[in-house]
Amino acid sequence: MLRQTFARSIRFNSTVAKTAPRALSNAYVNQLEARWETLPQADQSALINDLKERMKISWGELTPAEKKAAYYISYGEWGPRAPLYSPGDKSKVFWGTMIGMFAGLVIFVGLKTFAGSKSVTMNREWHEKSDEYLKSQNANPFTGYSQVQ
Amino acid sequence: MTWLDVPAPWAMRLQDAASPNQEGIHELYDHIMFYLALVLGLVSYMTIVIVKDFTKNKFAHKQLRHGQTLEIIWTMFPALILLLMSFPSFILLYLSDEVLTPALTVKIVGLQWYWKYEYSDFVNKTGETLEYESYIMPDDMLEEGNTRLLDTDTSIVLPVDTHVRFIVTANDVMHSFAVPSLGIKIDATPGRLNQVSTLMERTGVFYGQCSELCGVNHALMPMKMQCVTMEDFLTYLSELSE
Repeated sequence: MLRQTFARSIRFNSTVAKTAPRALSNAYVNQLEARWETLPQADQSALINDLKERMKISWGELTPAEKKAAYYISYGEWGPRAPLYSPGDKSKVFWGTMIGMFAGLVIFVGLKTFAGSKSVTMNREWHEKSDEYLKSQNANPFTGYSQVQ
Repeated sequence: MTWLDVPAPWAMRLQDAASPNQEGIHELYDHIMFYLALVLGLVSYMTIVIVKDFTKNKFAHKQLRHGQTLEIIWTMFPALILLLMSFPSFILLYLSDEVLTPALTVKIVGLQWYWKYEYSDFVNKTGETLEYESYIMPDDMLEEGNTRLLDTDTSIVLPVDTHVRFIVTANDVMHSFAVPSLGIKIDATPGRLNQVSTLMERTGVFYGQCSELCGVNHALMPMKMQCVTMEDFLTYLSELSE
């Protein structure tokens, strides 16, 4: 009993207790995720400093709202830890790619449609004759050879 | 997988070797492929592990600022791999560059857009060196079975198992004389004579294409080389000199 009284009085009179004597109000630190990034720089710094002071005492004495706020500021998804893609981005990239591929396909088919006729050499008979000729010329004696497509 | 003396549809690898140079290139290719597979395996494994284990772990790299041992390893390992690849590569490069006691010299001149071949060691009955030009066969003159964009009206004819030296130059812009089956690729530069040698180990026909962008018809100046027996070569020369 006496010891607890002493401990309490020491803690109460310490510099830490004087700078962060009371829990920060829920209105001040609650739901920080929703408004953190829109807070002015000065307010952000003030909040960080207030939490820093509060965290000098035993963390077990912090309110749940303070703990959540401190965690969010240190490790939350904002600033450099913000997600790479916002919700609509992935479908935008997907559909952009699809449209690009489709445009490529249209150009390919268009070119094939309006292209000139194939070369006279592009047929099976010609390729077979090529094989005969190249075989007679000893082309590729090791692993076999075929021009036929 | 196809290994060929001529380009073929969907061919993925080097053409068959017909000279020691190209055999060396095949060997080097296989050698480097081994290290490539090794590096690919290691990098893929590390990437998968990193992606799998650390994607959503916010604390994973929190305290990782500097790792001396790790940095030494990832500097030394690539350096070692590069060294292991560079030694056989340089050995082959300098061996290929060597021109040893050639028995025959052929001068090759690149022009827009054809080749001129000169058998500098031989003269005809009027005392001029044997020389002729070689043009691509146009599409409308191809006979069935000819290879389009590769066949020429005349070809270089050379004897088998003989050291041949090529003196290569150009008359207008830069060209490049290249025959993949022989492992040859050498620039033909105006005002400069480059030399390269080869030893063809089997008879046959070998194709090549100009390998330095030389103008609008760069793709239409192939080279065709026929390797024949010494008897056939001498017959060819005597016919040429008449």
